[in-house]
Amino acid sequence: MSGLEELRKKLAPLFDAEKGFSSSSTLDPCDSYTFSDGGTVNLLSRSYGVYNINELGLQKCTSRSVDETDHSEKTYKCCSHEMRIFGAIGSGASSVVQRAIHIPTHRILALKKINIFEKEKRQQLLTEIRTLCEAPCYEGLVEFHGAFYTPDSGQISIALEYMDGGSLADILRMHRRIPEPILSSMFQKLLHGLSYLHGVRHLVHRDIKPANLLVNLKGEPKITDFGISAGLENSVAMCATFVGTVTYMSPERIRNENYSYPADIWSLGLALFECGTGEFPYTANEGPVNLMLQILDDPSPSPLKNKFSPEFCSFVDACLQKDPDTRPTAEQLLSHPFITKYEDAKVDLAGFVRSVFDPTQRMKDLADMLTIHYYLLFDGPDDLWQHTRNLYSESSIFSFSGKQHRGPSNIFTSLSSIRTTLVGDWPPEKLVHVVERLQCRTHGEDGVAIRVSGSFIIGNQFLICGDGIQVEGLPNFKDLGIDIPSKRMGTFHEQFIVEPTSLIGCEPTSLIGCYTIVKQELYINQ
Amino acid sequence: MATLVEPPNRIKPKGKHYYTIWQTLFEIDTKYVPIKPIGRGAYGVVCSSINRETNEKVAIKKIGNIFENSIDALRTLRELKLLRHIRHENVIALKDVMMPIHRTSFKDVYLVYELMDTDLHQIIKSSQPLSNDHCKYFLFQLLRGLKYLHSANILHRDLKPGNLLVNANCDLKICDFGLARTNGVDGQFMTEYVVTRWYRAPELLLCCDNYGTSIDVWSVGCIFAEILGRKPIFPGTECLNQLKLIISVLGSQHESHLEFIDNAKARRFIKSLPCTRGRHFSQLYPQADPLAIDLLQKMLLFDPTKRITVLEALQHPYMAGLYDPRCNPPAQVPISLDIDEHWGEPMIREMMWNEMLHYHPEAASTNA
Repeated sequence: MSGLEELRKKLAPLFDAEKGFSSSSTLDPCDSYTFSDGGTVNLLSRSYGVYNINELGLQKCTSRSVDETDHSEKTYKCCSHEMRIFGAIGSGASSVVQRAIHIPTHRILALKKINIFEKEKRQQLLTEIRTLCEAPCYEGLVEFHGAFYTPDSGQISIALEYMDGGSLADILRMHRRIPEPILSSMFQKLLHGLSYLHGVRHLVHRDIKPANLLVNLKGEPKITDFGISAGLENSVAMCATFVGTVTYMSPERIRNENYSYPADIWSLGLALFECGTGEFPYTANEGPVNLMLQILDDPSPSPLKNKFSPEFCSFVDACLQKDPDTRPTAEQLLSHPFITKYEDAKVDLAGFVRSVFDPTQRMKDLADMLTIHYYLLFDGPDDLWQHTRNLYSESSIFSFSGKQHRGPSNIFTSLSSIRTTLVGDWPPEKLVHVVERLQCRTHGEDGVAIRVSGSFIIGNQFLICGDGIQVEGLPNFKDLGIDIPSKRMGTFHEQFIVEPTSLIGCEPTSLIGCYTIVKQELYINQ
Repeated sequence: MATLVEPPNRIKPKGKHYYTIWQTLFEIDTKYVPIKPIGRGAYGVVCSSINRETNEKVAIKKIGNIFENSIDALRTLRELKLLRHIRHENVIALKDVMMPIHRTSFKDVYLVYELMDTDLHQIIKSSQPLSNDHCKYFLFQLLRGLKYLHSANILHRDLKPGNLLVNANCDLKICDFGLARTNGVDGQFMTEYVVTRWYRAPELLLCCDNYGTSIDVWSVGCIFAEILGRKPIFPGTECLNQLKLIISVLGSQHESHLEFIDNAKARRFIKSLPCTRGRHFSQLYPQADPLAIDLLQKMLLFDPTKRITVLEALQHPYMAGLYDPRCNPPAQVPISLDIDEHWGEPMIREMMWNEMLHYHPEAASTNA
């Protein structure tokens, strides 16, 4: 004990306790960021230039002067206050993915939220944003819609195309394996995306796996999570860095050798093997070292010849060559017999996807989101209400009080009049909707008919009962303890027919995920 | 600085007030008044505060949207369960966990810790000189805290400089029990994104079964080396590279020291690494006390069965005159953690609420 006391006395203080300890603030331009006073995050990268992200969205800064600004460069305006954010779809190693509606366009998106204060995640984010900005709108690739930073949560959100089916990993969890004709058709489209990434954008994805291969209810497969891609334009297409999950890495990556596009082919082959057989071919539960050693030392896995077609076996074997130089390219694989075999067979991918994921549940989720979106606009602030106008097309019809209104202008005028009446003379306390019951059914091929009923109460915001999808910022109805019968000032019921937006003459892809109300009927009892 | 603000939705719950700290909204009990933000990490924002009832300074950590990621939620739950039982001067004290307003729908958790000035990672990478006495005192406190934890059957499993909080007077406390396990429970294979690799023992890297307290001793050895050298000793880029770095320093291992590796492939890999005599620690840290070098060498033995134990380390000549068993009683009882990795949000939420009730027993009567 005396020894300890003596030691304590000999210790010099580490720092002035009054002033506290201040760590040095040197910035490494390779993987650093700074905050400006306005809450903007400046992502810095030696190779990729500077990206500014704040609540108003993402903007790429170039070193060129204003006069030389490339006007064809896409801007991704995507603001946090223009988002309705719903519950999480899932969470991966470095991010959380949520559904959201972009208010100005009424588009449903997948929001990938990343904490930028962890070094490795930050680097992933930086490379993902760069990749997404420069790989837009291609078959087989998930579309990028923008990004923004939310100061309250300290996270950057990346807005991506919402794939309303799920991932191949989800399918494997439910079905265990996927039939060959389906796989052939899916992987043909995925190979187009990968071929584009490799051949046109010169990007290695570096995280190809079933969880990053998504499919929507229309049966379109797409690659997502370019999170750890890296630009290769200015090199001999080699990467010497090493990040990633263990499972799908190629032998040359594990050996820390230089690797390139063939590493993605290996991962694709493993993903196909797993989807076709229902089993990951290596023993994964004995830890990453054991898994890596299997990939290095054991013969490449090969499907059982008596259970799978020769074309499937040949495709997998070609992808899983240990020597990266002998693996075919994505372009070459598009001509492989496994792919061409079913080219003219008109495989029904949509039917397959709908047999796996519950279309009814998907429709219910969609109805919940659109209903919440509509009434948050109606009972919300005036500046957001203006966006309601483009929820309607020229042929949309709104019926109320025995009259029919057609077209966006007329419908907006009519709804605005109703809205003004409900607001009354004291805006902080107005009549707002409480949705008590929601029913939905399919309408036509892609549309949904929604029937809503509920009450009007005096309050300051819209509320919805039930245990459907929740939206951020809206209190849970159960927590408020409101007794509706005693507060009811009237009742309403409303019917909507909502369809995906389609416009002849416009660029079709720019409207993917947007919705239009084609028919609406409102009944109010005071 | 912290700014008092109006509550969202203009609904002011009883007993809470609201502050904006680094643009993050804090909803905290009215007895706490924030002073200033002191950190932002993987979990969320931390701010220093004063408890007006006791006039003591505390650190409040807000973990926002805790259920978005089930891994992070389980880590927080594990920390709540463990820290409730732990009472030791070298382990961070969790003083309070604020009761949320809504039991079934809360998204944020506010943890109240005793306030420390900084962490060992910041000290190591700064230019602050560290004498042999500093190194000795840091190591002693770390070992003393670890002995207490191991006597309670707790393996920390994620010891690293950033998880060791220090004050200006050199007091040290272990924190972050998100990966801790009770000894004997089956180890879980966790993604590399969660576990910090540089401080992991060989038996963890090689995923051997039946690892024990020796994994924490290895981490202590890595931390001790980092204090001496002011940079990580084994900064591996991935698992196999990590093992190569370890062998390049320790030297090739005799067959008898590889018997703990139960996986034939892994054992073959270790043997296949290039033959090397390694580098003696006195070459790596020429200024260090020879007794420190001797202790470090015993901590960083590849074979966990040969590695020095915490108690033996406390009794090592380098620690002479410091350790007194009479002043370091073991923990009261071994702590059991019955946490299932597959729990969903409702179960985790319920368990968290139950932990909070231990700090707010008066809330048990209300049906919130």
